[in-house]
Amino acid sequence: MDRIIIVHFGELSTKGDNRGLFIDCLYKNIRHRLRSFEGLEYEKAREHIYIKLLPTADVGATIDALGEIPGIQRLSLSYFVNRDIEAISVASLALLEEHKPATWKAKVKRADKSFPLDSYTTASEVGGYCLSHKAPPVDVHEPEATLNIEVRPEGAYVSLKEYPGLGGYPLGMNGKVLTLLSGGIDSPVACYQLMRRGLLVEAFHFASPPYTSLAVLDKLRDILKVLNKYQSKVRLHVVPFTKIQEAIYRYVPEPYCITIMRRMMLRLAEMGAKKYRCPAIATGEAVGQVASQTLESLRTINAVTNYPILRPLACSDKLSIIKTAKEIGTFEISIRPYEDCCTIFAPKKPKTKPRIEEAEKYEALFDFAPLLLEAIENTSDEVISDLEI
Amino acid sequence: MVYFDHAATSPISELALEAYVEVSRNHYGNPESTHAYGRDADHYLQKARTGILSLLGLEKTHDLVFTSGATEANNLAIGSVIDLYRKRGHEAICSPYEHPSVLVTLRRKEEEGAIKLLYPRDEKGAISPKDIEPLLSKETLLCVAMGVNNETGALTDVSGIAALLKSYPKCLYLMDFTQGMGKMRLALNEVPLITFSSHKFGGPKGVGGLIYRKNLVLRAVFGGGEQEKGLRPGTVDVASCYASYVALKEKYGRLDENAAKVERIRQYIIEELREESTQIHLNSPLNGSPYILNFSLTKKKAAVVAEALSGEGFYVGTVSACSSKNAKYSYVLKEMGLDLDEAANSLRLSFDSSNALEEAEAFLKAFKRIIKEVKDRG
Repeated sequence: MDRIIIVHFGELSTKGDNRGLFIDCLYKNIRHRLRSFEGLEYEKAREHIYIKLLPTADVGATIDALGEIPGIQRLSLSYFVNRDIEAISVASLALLEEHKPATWKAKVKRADKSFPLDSYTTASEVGGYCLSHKAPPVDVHEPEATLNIEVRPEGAYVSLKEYPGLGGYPLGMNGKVLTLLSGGIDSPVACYQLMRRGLLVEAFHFASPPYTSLAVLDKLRDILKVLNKYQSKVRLHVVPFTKIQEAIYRYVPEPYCITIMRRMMLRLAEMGAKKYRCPAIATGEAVGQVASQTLESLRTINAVTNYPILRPLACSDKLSIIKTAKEIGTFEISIRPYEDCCTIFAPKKPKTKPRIEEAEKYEALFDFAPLLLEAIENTSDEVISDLEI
Repeated sequence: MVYFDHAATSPISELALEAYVEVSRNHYGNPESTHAYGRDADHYLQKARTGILSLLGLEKTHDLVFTSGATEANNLAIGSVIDLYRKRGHEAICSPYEHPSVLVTLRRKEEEGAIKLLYPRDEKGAISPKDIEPLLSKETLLCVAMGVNNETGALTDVSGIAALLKSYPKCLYLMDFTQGMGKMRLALNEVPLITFSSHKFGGPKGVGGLIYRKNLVLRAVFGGGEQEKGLRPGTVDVASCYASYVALKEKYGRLDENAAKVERIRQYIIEELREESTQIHLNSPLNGSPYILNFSLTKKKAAVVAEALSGEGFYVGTVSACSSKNAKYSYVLKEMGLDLDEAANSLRLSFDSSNALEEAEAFLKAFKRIIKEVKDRG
């Protein structure tokens, strides 16, 4: 009687022709995530991925790790037995004794129609066997637990307990997104949402030393290390932004400074996206949160690029963002105090409804292009990875 | 790199480090053990104790209990005086420029209703005997005034205060000497309670002490064993205590030479900064400790300038964490009459004899350029 974890794909199962690719990608991610785990044997099939647990396997840790891999809908912890009714019954009873549900029912699926008993007979045979061995009572209408029996050509899978997966898509399946990362509460949550959806995150940060402290970079590295459990290798690019920021505040009227600063950042993000081959840009913006996140601001800022901009938090409430940040473990890092001297650049009355024509007019007061080129040329590139730990 | 933050902490001296290693390696016994190896360790501990007292000229009149540093020593002194001597009176006089380990501890005692705190006022950054005099009464139990202010280097007239307090024999004087030990000569015989931290004079971190007049009864902060005459329970770190003595001895051996050297550096920087008089407001008194130079930036954000300096390898002290949410300012500078903006934007340069004039030149060059380049705080 082997113990097996069945990995269910969920949303992925609905995909048509790409199905094989999706499964391959998820399979690769699972193998990578569990690479240091002992006592596991893998099998990839059309419906599921099966992970056989040898006696040396750490079941709890394996299930926890699988729970952090995007693209898995749910997991069931099962017994794999010979395809005969006696073996199935014994495994069923063992599971019922282990988990002790108040009531239960058996649900049978026969992928192998050559199995001599039909689904109904199989269920009642198992039920009869278990009840005669002091199993909890059966309730076919509202059982506390469902005993799933799946009969396949190679054997039968019997499972009682299921664990939720992270959902979403296998990481990397949907390509790479250049994601603006500030180190605040929102942008790490945006990264997490993107990774959950199968997108590889390439982090892009604007640094304005000495107005911002270099300590922020350590904070970003710590945040990305936490996110490494979803994406084990994240590239972090730091763009030197001081000169551009100083120029903006020298040439642009104060109420438009933030708008133009965001437009410059987005132009740099587009240049970065080209340089690092990302077909899209993502931000942690939430509509209405600050002056630069009104719809009018977003439109005026957005006008500088025709790249798709993903805003996973666009309609999230601050409280729910904070809740997620706490759950994934980035909140404590984000609120770490550091020298945030952006206050020097914070305009007293920022424009909440900036207009594109006005923004273009002010940008024409100075030739920003050479500074943007210089900034992108001097952008750093480092890999934050959990591999060397 | 140029390190001008010695008032925060100094590197351990080579001799002190050697002494530390030697004691840790070859005399590691517990001084409380009765066997010969324990007695050997105790020998080093006592040598450290009497050594430090003699360097200060206090071996006959005072005793020393080693602690984790000046913060603990201040707590031990204040707690002992207020808990054990309260019958003498219920008022304490405290300079508003003291270190938090003094101010917070005394304010807590005041909240508990144990004492009433009186603050002498003087905008020069140090209180003088004549500031204290009107506040003294039969009720005065304790008077606290640091030797050298840690932010500005302002000097307190310690001898003057000690002389004044002779007429008030019930009042004990606690003098935090953290920024003065090994840096200046002072007659300390008349001061009953003196505290210090070793890492400020080239000793190891995590050690310091309370020097107290011999007839005084004190009471431990922590409950525990009989180490350090029961005043500081816990196994004593003999190596650190001994290394402290070695470091202090080294400092006293070259005290005048060191002071002259840092004074030249400080004077040079003061002279050069005169050119930037629209940008700078000097907070350190000219006759203060030569080891500390504090000034406020009138237009720039100190944290930004400090960050820019740090980026170029110049390390200076700043109180301010420049976030709009929790704007910090120096209470010392505010007490001296500076407005909040200036009190929030000060830089402290603090020196050591290992610093060189060339470092000051390089610093000034970078500093002058940075304050031209960096945007005003607006």
